[in-house]
Amino acid sequence: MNLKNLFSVLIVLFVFTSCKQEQGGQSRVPIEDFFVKPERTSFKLSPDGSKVAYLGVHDHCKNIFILDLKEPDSSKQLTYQVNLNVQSFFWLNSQKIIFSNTQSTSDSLRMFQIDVKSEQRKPLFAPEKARLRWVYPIVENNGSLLVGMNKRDSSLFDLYRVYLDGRQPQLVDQNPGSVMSWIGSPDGEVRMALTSDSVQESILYRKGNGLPFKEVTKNDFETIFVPLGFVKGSDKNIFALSNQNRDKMALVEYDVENGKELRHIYEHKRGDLGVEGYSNNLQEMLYTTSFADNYKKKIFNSAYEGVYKRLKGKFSDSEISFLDSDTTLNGFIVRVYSDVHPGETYYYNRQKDDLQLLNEENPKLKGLEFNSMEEVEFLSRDNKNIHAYITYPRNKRKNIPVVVLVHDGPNRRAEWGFDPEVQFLANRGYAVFQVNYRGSIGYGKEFWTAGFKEWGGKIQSDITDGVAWLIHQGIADKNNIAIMGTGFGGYSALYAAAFNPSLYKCAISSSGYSNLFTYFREIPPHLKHYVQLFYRIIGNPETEPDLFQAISPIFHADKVRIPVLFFQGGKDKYSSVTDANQFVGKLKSNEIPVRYVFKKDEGKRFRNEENIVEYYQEIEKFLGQYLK
Amino acid sequence: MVKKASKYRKNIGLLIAFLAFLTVLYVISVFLARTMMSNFVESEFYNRKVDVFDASLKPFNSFFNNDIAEVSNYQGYLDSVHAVNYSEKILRKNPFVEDVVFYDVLFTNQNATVRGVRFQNLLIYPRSIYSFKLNDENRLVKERISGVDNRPTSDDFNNMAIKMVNFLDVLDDSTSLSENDIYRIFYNTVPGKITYLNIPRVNTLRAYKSLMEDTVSMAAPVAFDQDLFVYKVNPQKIKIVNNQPRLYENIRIKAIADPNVMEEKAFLSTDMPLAGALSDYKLQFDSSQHFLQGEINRRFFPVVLGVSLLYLILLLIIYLIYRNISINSRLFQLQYDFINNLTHEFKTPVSVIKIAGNNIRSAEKISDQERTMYGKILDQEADKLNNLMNKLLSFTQIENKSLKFKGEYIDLNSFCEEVFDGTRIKYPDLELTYNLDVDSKMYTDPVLLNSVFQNLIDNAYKYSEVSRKFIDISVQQKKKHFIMKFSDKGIGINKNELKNIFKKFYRVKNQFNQGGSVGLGLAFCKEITEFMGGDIKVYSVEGEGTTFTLSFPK
Repeated sequence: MNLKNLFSVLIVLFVFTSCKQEQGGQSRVPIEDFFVKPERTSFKLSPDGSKVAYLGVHDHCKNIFILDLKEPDSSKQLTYQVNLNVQSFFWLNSQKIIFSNTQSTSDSLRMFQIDVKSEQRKPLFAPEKARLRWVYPIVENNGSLLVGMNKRDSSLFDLYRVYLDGRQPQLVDQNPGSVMSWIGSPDGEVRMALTSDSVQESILYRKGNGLPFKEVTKNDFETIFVPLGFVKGSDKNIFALSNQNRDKMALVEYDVENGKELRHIYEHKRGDLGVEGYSNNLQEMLYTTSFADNYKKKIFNSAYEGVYKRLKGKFSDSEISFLDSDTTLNGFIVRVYSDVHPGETYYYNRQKDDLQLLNEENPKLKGLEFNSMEEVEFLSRDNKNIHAYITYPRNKRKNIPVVVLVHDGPNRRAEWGFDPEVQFLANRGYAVFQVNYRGSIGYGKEFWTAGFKEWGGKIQSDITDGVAWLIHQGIADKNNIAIMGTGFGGYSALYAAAFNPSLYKCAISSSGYSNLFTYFREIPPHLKHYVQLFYRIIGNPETEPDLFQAISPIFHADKVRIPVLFFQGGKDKYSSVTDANQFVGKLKSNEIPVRYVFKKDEGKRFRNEENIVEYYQEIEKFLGQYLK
Repeated sequence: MVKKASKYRKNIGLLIAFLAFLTVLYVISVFLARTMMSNFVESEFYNRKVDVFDASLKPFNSFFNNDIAEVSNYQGYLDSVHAVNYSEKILRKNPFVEDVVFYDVLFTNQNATVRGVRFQNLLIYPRSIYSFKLNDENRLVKERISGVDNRPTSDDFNNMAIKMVNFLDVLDDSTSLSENDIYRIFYNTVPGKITYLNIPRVNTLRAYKSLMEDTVSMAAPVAFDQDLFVYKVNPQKIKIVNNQPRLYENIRIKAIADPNVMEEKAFLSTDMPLAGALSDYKLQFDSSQHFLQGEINRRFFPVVLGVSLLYLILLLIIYLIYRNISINSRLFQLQYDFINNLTHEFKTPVSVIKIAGNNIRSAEKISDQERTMYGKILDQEADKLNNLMNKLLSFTQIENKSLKFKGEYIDLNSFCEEVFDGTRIKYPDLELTYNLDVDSKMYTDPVLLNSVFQNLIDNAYKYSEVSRKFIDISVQQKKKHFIMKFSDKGIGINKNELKNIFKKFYRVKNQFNQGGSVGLGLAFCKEITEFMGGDIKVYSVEGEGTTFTLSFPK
């Protein structure tokens, strides 16, 4: 009996130590734990601050749930759908919620309103084979709401009035042809519209509904102008983010009637400001923030400032983001997160100074230690400052195997925050290097446009320069570097496999653009104005097929000399399965080790949870095999 | 007869039977190997054609799988200018492609009055047609073909367009292109010609379908580019790669319908039909009997070599067994003789002692003279026995390696003097001459060296006629050796016996050793000499004398 006890104690000890010893002190977190989908999302506070509505899962479908803050016992599930997901919802007022449901993205449009108390629901209008864009701010005016819908022509959104009493939607303004968005005011008038033919953007303005629109300013497409909302009491002055006549997007006050910038309010010198911080309800700027500063907030509103300070004091290592607040600025829904902390959602009551946990985004990772993203900067070969992030594996900072994780886009960027993919790789002992190569957005107009027509050129050399810098710094083990990415990142990985095989040990492409001709084909000819934009960004395949041929990996599959892990979704729009098969076929016939994972029902990024786990299992195995 | 039966048994009959059996086996296996090789080569002839087929068609398959499919990579963006580059590459790389025709095809809902294929609202027509080929000077010739007046070739386009339309008609949202669909739809293969339409993305196909079904025709005019290529192939120009030159004397590409009446039929011939665009041709393989004979022999040779080698090894083993048996039988004989001799040797002194003892016992009174005589006899005979025993004992010691070398520096001059003095006393009738020419001392075991000297002197005395008892001993000092020569004028040794005299128990048969000798003396000398690091040699002329030469290193 005694011996048996001793034996089991020994086994437990052995298992414990063998788990602990791995990865130099950091325990190996199972793949499934990283990629857990949060069960509750979209927390929204009712305007009166008494209830929180959120999407939860019931019977494998997303449904709306109500959390009553005043009387917790009357919290309930609001909708009971068994084969449809609630796609989106919002509080129309403190009694009513409007929501849409859907089975798939190509489903017809179904909108409902539901009374929170009586749970009575009725359709807003008969199901339509169209798409809908809300006109912000969403305010009820004479029992109706304004929306943009593309009923008439799938490429044009006309302005409609939708009645809450069940009348048919009524056309208000026909799209003259290039209006991309309608911008409303709290009084129900639509005074502004933005047009775009993808090369040029214009701001249209009118004094009130029914009057003709007048073009106020014209911007080239490199200039970004984002109206946030009208200044309180004005029908012509707005808050906007704009990089008109400057490099970075700044917060300005703008006179839309005359097309003049009135006041420069705030600008971050290292990066664009984010599109947030305006309150439709108060019609004022509450705060502004930039990714370049890891989302530290510049607060204008005193109530927000107090809450921010209070919460920052409480969660000193994390950042706070405001998801919602009630009209009295007493109740707040905030998200607390950081690069080493997956994040939680809280309800915060200012008067009571009471914090209530609503949701943990990934409870399985709670209490585990993760590795912080460190921002670095290096010079490219043509003396451009390139920003990048390095996430080191635990306890190692020199001569480590590196995974270069190239972000998709290129009109995107890698940014600070908890990224399960990055943390997964770091947990497996690899340093993760994310380069914000030129063409990445957020670092200003000049940096963005510098990436135009450089897909196979300077963008790739920026990545290479970054890796060279890493090697030079002694951080990377130069014989153990992998390159990996999705979409454009996958393209970069395939490009590197074909043109830079000596730098990398292996490459992982997930739905990488193996053929830019195919990528271009995705833009349907009837959206010709988009094509113009892409001519600028990539090139023109009709007049420059040589360029396309030179930078498309599929034409250079013969040059690939390193092992490739290739993922392809059958429904990916930007790369075709035929191309993928051909690419892999060529590699196989050249006896290059290649692992091809094809998922028929997936798109560019795998969504199905099983497939996600398999995706990272394959990556783990592949890197384990070639990065040693 | 009785003597023979007691002898060692030799069974030569068994060996001979074994030898005969082996030889029969050898002959049979060689014959079988020959038959098998001939069958093997014949079946190889029929089987290996696949290798030739694969190797010869490798460029064509690569063209079909890679070069043609490359068109799809351009996703319809090829125009006449860039089609030139592509076509030139194809034509130069693949000599069997004679002609490339490029159709820049539009899929549109426009209502153009052009010659094309229209189905519902979808019009498929070639915007331009170009033909590319290499002329006799190997230059690329580009030729624009008018869409109006090319009736015979327009079939290629029409067939493909109709196929496409049929496919679009059944296309629905769940369709995904499998490899099989791709081959069925986008390739059109007829003998001598491959037509290929670039494979668009599934979404583009759906867009074509919606163009086709959109009968309202209100929508804006839309046109999609597609590229269609027609490759004319000439199978005769495929380069045959004969990677089995030993099997196939002649490989040709022949029309499948060739009646083949004019030719003489080859000894072995087989064919393999080509597939796809080459299907009206076949690969014909021929070989003559003489040609194949060479291959059979080539393959047969190593086999027969192996079998023969095995046979030779077995023969060698038989010989070794035979030799072993002979040696054993001789050894047996020698030991038998040794025991005989030994018995004799012992018997003589023992009977003398017995007689002397009997005489002493039976004599009533012994005179002093008699006592002295008997004492001397007993003493002598006991010495003889003792010598014999000593010799046997030390020989056994050498054999068992239990003898110890007790080395010391001796002066050879005084050593020899002592030996000679003893000899003179022992053999007063022996005429001894000597020649000593040494000044340094020699490191050796004097007891062992003495016994070698004694033995050689004994032999010289023993094997000499009474009138010729003579020995000359010379001891010399050379640079590195001491040389000692013992020359007598005895009976000498027959040349045939020379190589055996140092063997144990071997005795030269003559009258001088009838009295008793065990055949150990010289074997003993050789063993001792070699044990002391020296060397013994013999030179002899029969009837004149024998010289033994000892040499010891300094």
